[in-house]
Amino acid sequence: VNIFFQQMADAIAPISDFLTGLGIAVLVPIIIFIIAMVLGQTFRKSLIAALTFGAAFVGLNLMIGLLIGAVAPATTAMVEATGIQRDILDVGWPVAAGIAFSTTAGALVIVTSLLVNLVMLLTKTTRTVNVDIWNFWNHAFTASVVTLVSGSLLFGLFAACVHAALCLIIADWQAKKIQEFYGIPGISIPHGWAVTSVPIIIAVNWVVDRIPVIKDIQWDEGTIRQKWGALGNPIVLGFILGLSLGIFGGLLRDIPALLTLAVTVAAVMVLLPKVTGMFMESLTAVSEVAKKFFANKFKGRELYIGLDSAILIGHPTTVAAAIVMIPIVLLLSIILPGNRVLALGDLAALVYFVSMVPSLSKGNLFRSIICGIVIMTIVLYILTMFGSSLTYMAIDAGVELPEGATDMTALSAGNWITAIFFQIGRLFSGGA
Amino acid sequence: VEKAEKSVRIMVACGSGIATSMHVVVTLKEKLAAAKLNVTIDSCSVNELLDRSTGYDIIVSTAQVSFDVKQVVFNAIPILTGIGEDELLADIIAKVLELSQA
Repeated sequence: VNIFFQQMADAIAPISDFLTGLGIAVLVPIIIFIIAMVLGQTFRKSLIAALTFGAAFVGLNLMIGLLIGAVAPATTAMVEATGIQRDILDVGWPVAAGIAFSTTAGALVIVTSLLVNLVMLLTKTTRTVNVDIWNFWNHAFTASVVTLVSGSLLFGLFAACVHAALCLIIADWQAKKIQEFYGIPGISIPHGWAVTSVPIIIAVNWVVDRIPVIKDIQWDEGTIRQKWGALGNPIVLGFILGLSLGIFGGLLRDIPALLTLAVTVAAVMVLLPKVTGMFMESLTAVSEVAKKFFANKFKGRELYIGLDSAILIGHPTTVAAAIVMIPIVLLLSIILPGNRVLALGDLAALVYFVSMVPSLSKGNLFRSIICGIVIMTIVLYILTMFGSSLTYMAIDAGVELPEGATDMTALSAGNWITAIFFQIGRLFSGGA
Repeated sequence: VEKAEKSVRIMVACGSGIATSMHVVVTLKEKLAAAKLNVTIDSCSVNELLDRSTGYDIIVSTAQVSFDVKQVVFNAIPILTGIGEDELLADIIAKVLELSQA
């Protein structure tokens, strides 16, 4: 198998060299334009989509510079003051998604993931139509990181195809449960990260169900939402995190610098999603036509519409669990031995990490928190294994990082599917 | 035919205020413009709604809104799935008309 991939990789090398040579800011918009046109989008919308993607990339570049530039001195000072070695900063999923789509492998994933879905619908191996193109970023991340570590674009794309296929299979498996629990007929959740949490949640529930007393614990979530709901607002959370980071970084003696850091982190927490929103806006041109294409092609078959796990996160249990988990995850990232990741950006997105728990645990807050702790521990160790990958992906994509920048990662990129292919890719490239 | 005077403000919410809300915003802008309605549409995350929905007349959300808000809330999932989309859009248009002439 290795030899086969090697030959394929050699054959494809000149093409991928040419594509990479074009530069990401040009290449990815061209790919978006072609995909949109081929799927039948109008010239005008395809062009605007391509240009919006390019503009989003420029905006992302600015945001990363701002965040890393502001936070890096504080984290360095914190390491010096406390001796806690956390050299990889969680910059949050908006950055990871933007970078993942901005590599050659990542951009091509928009095509391969749609193809995987088409083939599986034709062969009746899935009932899910996944036109949630923006969440292909998870597959795009798999493709990018596996390409990076294995040195083979083809193997990276293969890994992304398996990731896409597993998303559809797990989505089908969970569809009825989700539909009944949330009362939304005809949908499934093939989200690239959410599906990977399903086996973990089932395992945790299996264990908890066998422990007397603990298995019967029920917590009330109403008070938490009312009292601490403001923490869920990214601007408030960003300010508090910036403040804590500054205090640990010894900025208490310099109050203006401390407050500036806090306001900067708050600003990034609000601005980053807006920039990432432009990537998503660009991809709307693709998902719009893909939806029509699948609807016409498979008319009359009972299919599930694949949706973002975002539609689940308003559940009261999930909202409450995410708030309780902010300090827990921060603490985990500081105390877990061997962990190198400092949780920050995705603390604003913890709702997504426990979005699949309520339908599997009858909406029990205690279970959501227990599952959340297990999930986030796994996520932190997977990301420690990925190490500087996201930083290298960003450099490959042409992002300008400030001098002496800390490495970056994002909690939302930590899933076991990507991790398995990362390890295979590492073996295959001789353990580099 | 009476001409709509007041601009109706719509806040679209989703999990992060990024992905699905963007899709809903694009769809609403297109359909409401086609119906010649005078609206302002913004988006945010469902967690920000409590602080950011002041001054808006209608909330359209793809995620469950699990606290009390003053405005009428429309569930936007039909716009994502396409099932019941036309009925939902008709309801929203009717509400916008009602508010703009109030």
